[in-house]
Amino acid sequence: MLTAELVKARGAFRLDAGLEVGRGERLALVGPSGSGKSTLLRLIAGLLDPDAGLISLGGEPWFDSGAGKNVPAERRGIGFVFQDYALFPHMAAWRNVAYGLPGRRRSRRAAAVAGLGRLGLADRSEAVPADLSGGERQRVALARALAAEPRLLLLDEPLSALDARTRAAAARELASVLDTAAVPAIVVTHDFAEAAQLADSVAVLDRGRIIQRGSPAELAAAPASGLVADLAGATVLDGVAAPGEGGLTRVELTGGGTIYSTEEASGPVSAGVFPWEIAIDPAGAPAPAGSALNRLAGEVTGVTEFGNRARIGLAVPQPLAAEVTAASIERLGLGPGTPVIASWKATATRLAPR
Amino acid sequence: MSRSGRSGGSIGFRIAAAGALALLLGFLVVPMIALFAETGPRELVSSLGERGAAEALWLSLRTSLAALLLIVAVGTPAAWFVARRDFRGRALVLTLIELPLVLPPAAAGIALLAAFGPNGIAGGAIESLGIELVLQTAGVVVALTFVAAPFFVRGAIAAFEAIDANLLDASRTLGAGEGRTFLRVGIPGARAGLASGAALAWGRALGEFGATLMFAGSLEGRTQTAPLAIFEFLARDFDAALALSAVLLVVSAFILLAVKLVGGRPEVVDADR
Repeated sequence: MLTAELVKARGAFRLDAGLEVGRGERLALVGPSGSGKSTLLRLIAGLLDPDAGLISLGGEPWFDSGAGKNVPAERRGIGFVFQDYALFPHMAAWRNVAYGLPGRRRSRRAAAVAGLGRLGLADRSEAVPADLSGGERQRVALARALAAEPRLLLLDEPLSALDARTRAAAARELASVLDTAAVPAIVVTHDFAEAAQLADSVAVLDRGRIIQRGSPAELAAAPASGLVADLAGATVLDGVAAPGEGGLTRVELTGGGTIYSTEEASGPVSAGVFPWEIAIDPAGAPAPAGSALNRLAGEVTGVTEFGNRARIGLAVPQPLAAEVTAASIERLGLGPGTPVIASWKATATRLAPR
Repeated sequence: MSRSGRSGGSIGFRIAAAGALALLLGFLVVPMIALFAETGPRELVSSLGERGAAEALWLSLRTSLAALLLIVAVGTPAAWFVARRDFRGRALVLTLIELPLVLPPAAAGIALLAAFGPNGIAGGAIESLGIELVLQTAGVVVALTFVAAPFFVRGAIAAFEAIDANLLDASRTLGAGEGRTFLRVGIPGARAGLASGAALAWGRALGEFGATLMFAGSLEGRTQTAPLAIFEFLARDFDAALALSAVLLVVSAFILLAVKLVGGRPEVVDADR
């Protein structure tokens, strides 16, 4: 378990944040640029020194300003994936991966090639970074960070250097690599969907402070501020997709309910929908003549108002978030326990294989 | 579309500027051509057989390479320290490193005498170590090192500063301490800048005259380097002076060419960005 309580001032900017990451847990740090995400990650890595605070992993102190303790980065046993990957340009891929490995050249090389092989890059082990594609570099960086079996993995915007097309596939692959590696990890990203895909819980950082932490669904359903509401865009429902009537894809949701999407998919999927696409009707209202094909009955779990709008947390029975005007709350008499019907269009349902 | 594609501007000025360039090139190149026009290849070789000429050239090569070795061995880690750290007095350190660049060589020679000469402030300490510098070959090496070191160290600092800081951080997160990071990421990442700095320092050391004369003297076979020999031949054998100068010009041209080749190659570090 990682515990960190840190203060770091840089000019007018002040980072003052605390966080915990449990055994095998994956935390995403999300926030607008300049919010201090990367700084926090570097402080934990030991690449920057905090002004004050405490960092410990599994009870072993890494930094303690009171006791004057500061374990240097090279002795913290971490894996770090840099935003631009920071591969050593004069070394072949396997040498990059072998860099942090102890032992003799032969065994290091075998281990490095095996590590590259696990990421599908066994045949690229002799290539230098300049000859690798963006996606390949990202995987070499990941293999390098994982090679020495780190106790904590830190990833600084690991997908932001990739173009939009390779990014979705790389995110899925990264999630599965992280699952297999089973090492506690902190991922910095400014993309909430990416955070939801890569991590179990999300901490939102704004101007140097963690303003909210929770599961992606919790943040989407009950955002602490307008910033969190805007970041936490789509909420995600899990289900199994199959071709349905009218050329649509039919998704049987885990825990009950059926929805439709215009996107094609089959097998286990995540169905994403933005809160502002969802309309709320009182339970028992007749099906409207409109074009909203998806109708799920559920119950309000919470209402969070910010300004003239409000987030409604719903259980349908999976958690779902809807956004309505503050006036509608009163008009519909919405509060915890109110039975409602959430509806949205099939075209607003985005499917991603799980 | 750059230099040649620019339109407009006054024709008159362009002609004047081109004329200035022609004048400059002529002034720089004519003496070098003259060096070879005056000495045919045969005279050149035979003049080198002149007593002292080959010896002076050999001494120049030995002492300049010894100085270069010292400069690189001490200057590389020193440059790393300056480049990778922000400390109080850093600007002063940089100024001190660059000072020999603007110091007149004769003044440098006197300064070396005042410091390391028999009556110099550190002279006693050096003598007690059993080292003799004045009028000795070792003194030549000291003079060359003093004058040429800034050329290498300045280039090395710039080259280390240019390395992507993330590469050095990556090395640390992979368990490498600063020493290993310096050897395995720092030096390879700065190698083009280090090589061109070394070539410039070597070129400067080969041509050194004033400081060597003041500090080590001009003893044939012991402290008389090629530039000092040229000066001495001038009075009694102009052809030998010409021949030796021509050889130095060729060697210097090779060094410059090597700098261009190394420095002109895109650094691999940049190719990744």
